[in-house]
Amino acid sequence: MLLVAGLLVGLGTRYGAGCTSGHGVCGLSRLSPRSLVATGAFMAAGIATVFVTKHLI
Amino acid sequence: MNALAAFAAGLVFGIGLIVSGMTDPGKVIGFLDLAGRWDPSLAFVMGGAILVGYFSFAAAGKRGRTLLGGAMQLPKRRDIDARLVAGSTVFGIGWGLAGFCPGPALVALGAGIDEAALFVAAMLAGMVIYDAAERLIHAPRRRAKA
Repeated sequence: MLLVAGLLVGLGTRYGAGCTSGHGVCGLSRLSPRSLVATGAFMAAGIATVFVTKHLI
Repeated sequence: MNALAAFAAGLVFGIGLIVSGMTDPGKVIGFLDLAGRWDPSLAFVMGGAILVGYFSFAAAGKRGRTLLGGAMQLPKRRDIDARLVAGSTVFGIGWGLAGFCPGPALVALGAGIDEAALFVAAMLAGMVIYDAAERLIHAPRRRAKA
């Protein structure tokens, strides 16, 4: 599971050009619309994933 | 001097991640678990970091050079494309599965946590696979140009 998660985070960081610190902190600090969209996307995906793993499975 | 400044910045960042609890995957998953026993504290960590960042980036934007005299390199892109959304979504799924994202995972790796070592190895593999795939997709076009 950790290996799958790491692989997804590695791919996603490069493909989405940023991570929690990059888009979530630095991007939002600069009021970047790109980063607002990216942060919304990874927050929503993270919340949905935790919902599935903790409450559905 | 540049290397020293980078080291100091990394040190402050790493300490911040440890103090705030970002390096604890259980806490991160608690933050993402809206339907369970939701722990909103990391929202304050992010809010605090953005507050500091807002003023820092505003000050940086007004300067042409860094304090050490280097060229100021700030991101310029403002467009929103499918890659950004798809990549961030893939990132979010991985983040929700493990409770680790790149910065805190590196700090946890430094703390000698085995799970972090596995995660970071897989993360680096993911980045290498991405680069290889990009090269594969763009290689024929580049060759044709040359």
